[in-house]
Amino acid sequence: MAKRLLIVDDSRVSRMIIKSKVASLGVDWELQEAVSGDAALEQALHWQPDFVTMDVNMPGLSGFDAAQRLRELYPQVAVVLLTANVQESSRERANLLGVHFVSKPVTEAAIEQVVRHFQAAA
Amino acid sequence: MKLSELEHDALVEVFNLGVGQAASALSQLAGEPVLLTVPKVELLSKQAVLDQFSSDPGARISAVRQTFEGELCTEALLMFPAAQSLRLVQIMVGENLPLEDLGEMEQEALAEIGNILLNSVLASVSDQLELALEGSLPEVELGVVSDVLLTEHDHSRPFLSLQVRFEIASRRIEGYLVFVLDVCSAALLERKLAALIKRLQCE
Repeated sequence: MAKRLLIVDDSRVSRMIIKSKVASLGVDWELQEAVSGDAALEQALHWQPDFVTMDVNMPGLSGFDAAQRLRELYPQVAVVLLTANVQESSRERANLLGVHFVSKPVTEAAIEQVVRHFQAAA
Repeated sequence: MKLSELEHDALVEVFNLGVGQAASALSQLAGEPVLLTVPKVELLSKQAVLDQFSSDPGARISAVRQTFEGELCTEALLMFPAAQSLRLVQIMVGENLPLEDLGEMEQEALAEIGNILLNSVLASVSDQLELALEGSLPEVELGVVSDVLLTEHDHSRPFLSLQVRFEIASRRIEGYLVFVLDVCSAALLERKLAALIKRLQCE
């Protein structure tokens, strides 16, 4: 069965670029999008993704809080924080949550890093 | 607020490193070098910042605004001529999408570019000065320079202003990163700069 990747970002452009770059790497994962941390939790319940890329600064539930909830509810799901919030304190918080951290911009190199992490976690 | 020469230099350097990170992010997107000026740090009113910016206060610009709060209150702006907005968006979404199709997502793409650049700078400042900062969501504004800059009633109140000009020459894109630090938090900033200088002297 194809792996499932949930892309969580309030920016439509970022979601579009992430999708396009993941597809260009030739992985045959199913992709879905969520526009907020709250929507991500809702979709995780029904769609059960294997992997999640999570923005941090979003309206409503922040990416940190959503990632924490995901880790509590679905510890088997691999989560990558993909964010412009590149403060050292954010990286440390990601570490504490047990999630990988990749900084924006969403370049091919960044997405390769994300995909490699998910493939290793699978 | 009066910074000593050493504190002033330290603040310029702190922002310089942050601006370097932002330039690196923009350069990764553009696939080519980004030219930057050294940050100019001055104690100015917003009106004086405006006067420095444009010989034509009626010039239309696109701007992305974020506020960062916590141990320091900073208003951060990415500003560039409105006519260049789509070219900047194209850097982000790539060359495959024609300019005429970009309009629909222009504001979102600008917000994301601003988010990446402004966070790059402030993350570096936060890390070096060991400050906790929380950024707001980015907001895109389109208007004349004066409307974008002068959002407060206290135009004459002094702020610590930092400005950096950037340019991607081959794409004919230029703009400014502007940071306006509220000097109500001047004492804290001075303490943090002193601590940084002490750490650097001990290394």
